[in-house]
Amino acid sequence: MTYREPTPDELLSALEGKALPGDAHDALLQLGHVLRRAAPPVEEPNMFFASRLKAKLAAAPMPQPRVPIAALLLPLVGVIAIAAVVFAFPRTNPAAPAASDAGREVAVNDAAPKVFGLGGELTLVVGNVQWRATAADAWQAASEGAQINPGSELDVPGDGRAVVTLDDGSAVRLNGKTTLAFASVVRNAVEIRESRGTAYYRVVKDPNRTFTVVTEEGTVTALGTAFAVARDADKKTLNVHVLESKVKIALAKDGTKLEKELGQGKTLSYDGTKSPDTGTKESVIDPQKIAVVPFFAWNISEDAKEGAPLGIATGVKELALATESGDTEKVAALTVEEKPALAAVAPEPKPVPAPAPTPTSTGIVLSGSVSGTTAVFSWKVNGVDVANGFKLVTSLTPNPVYPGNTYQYLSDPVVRSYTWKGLQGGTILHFRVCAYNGNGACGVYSNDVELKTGTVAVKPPSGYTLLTSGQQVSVQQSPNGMHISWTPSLVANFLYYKVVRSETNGDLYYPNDGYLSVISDKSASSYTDTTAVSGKDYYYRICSKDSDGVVWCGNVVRVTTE
Amino acid sequence: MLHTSEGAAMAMTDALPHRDEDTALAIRAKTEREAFGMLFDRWLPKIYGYIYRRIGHRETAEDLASRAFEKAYGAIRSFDAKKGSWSSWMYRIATNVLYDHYRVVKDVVLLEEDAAEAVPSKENLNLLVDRGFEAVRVRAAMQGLPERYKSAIALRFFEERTTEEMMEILKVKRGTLAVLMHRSLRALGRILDERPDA
Repeated sequence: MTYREPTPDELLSALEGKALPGDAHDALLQLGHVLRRAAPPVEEPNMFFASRLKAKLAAAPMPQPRVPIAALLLPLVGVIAIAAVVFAFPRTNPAAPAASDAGREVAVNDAAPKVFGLGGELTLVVGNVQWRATAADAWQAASEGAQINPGSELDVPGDGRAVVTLDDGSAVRLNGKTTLAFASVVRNAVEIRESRGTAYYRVVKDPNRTFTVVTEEGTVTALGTAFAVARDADKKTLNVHVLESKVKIALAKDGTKLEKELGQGKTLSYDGTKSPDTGTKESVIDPQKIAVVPFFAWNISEDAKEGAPLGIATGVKELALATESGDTEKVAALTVEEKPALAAVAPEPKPVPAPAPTPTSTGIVLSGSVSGTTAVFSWKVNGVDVANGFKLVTSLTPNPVYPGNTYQYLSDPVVRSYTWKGLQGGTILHFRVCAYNGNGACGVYSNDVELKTGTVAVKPPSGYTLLTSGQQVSVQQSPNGMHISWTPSLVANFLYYKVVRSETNGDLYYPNDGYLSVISDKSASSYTDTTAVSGKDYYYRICSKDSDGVVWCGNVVRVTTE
Repeated sequence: MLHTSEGAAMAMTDALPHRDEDTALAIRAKTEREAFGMLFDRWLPKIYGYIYRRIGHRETAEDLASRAFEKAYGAIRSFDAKKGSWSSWMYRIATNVLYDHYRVVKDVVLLEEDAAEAVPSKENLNLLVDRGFEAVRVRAAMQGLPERYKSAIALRFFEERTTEEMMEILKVKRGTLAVLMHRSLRALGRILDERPDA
């Protein structure tokens, strides 16, 4: 007799204890028995971990009620009310999570239909993100799942990121150094006050609800659209970038009002110290340029993943995804292809060393220029002993010193220029060059040169920037695998660590060699590689990625497993 | 204790026969912090164990278990006893946390779901079972499965969830679950079939 494979229904019934039909073979059922015996042993959770987590939960604010009135009405009004409200508030955005039979991706909050209220939830936390229920409360560390209700406020003090997902599927994505207050989060009106920083708003189309972003300089109102609002609280400037559809902008200062509609692909810049009549400027967004800005690359990638309309970013989706994933080679390739077109719009300045002025008196005079994250310097020396070479030093504040700040040592006394690659992107850096005295200090310093680096690395030749302090790794064999430990990262706008392993490449790095694990906790300092095979050589390295998309890697350790 | 109008509202919607003590606690946890604490004590070992068996790494399992409980706490107000038990709800959150984790660590899925369509021969499978291949090899073979298959196998055979519970956790109908179980076992059989030394 030949045996057939059981049907799915027969198999499921057999797993519940019923007999298989006589002509069906039982191989899959037997495999199930083997699996039951193969359940991996597990210890009790560590008690310190358990008590820490319990304390953390106990300290978290009690989740706020969202729909008390609905709860009262529901049993009374019944099915008719649900049908009516569902009809009145259809979900039209493809970005909105849809109910899925597969169970996968089903957000916890979709467990209950939320057709009455409009709440929100913090769905992504990267780095330090602070939350408070109202302006009257103290800030506290936010975690994913924190509820966003009217009055809730969010602050990303450093280089972290956060995403709030509203119940209608609209998303608010915060960049670092951004503060938002959710003044109103109800079904017919969302109002968000953005007091500083940059946030991206992906708003689900809903004719029955207004969505307004309020800043000190003016308001931006959307129906269904994707736009970013950037506010510099110190300079009182406001920039609104519309990536998809359009928004309405209302500006007011000293009795002068300006209302206008800003269409897809446009930026409106407003200098809030001036009257709206004279202080506004409208420009066209170059999709190629924004796709390589990390914050926009991230947002375009997120929208693309969710299937939301991309508007002007449609053609640069690949570039944004490559930027977001840190695939510098692909970014370079995609950018090179577009170079002629780009150059026609806005010629890219090449870094050229500016001729250094001749010092009129004793000393060192430094000049420099920057393109992307590469700076080119030249200097002139008059009457200074430079027999031990130079230290080129940099810091975020004026007048960097050696020792104390980041430096390059140029030991050749005749060197008068240097190209510094892989600098921190999107920031103002200060540089000086000094004559090294050979005894751990500098004598004469040059003038301070201030340079603003670009927001994306111009593909560094090695694909990463080498760190000689921070992320220094050591590896030991432990019963569970290879125990990798490292010193904390010193990268300022740190996003996450990548634990990188290679069997062959002694100059391994992310993304070239893939990674074993991604860790977003900057204070993390160890990882156990449970997949290493005995008797093999492995190279390990800790790389990190920062919010500008730059990859930083520490030392390499080579080990042979026992 | 439910004294407020909000509490009364909840009492109305939640005053339904609940299936078990944990589900009753979950209803209380909507307004009482202590009730959530009790659920935490009772359920941390189970959820941590579920995740640990899937991940095999203590620190990561702790991290993911933390995330699961933080999500559960943040969303406890949306827990609806009419739609399923606390147990299914909590396993579902943990399963979603695992999906999220593997979505970040992308290099773990070796086998696409379509590739699992090939049927392992019955003879080879029986041979493998007869050989009494060790648990370690079965677990190693499991690592090559798509996440959905791993969840189905882990929930059924490691966590010993019933068909009804799995339908709630994975949000699928009985027919879909039957196909999922069938495909998962078949795919695992195929990996063992192809790699008897896996």
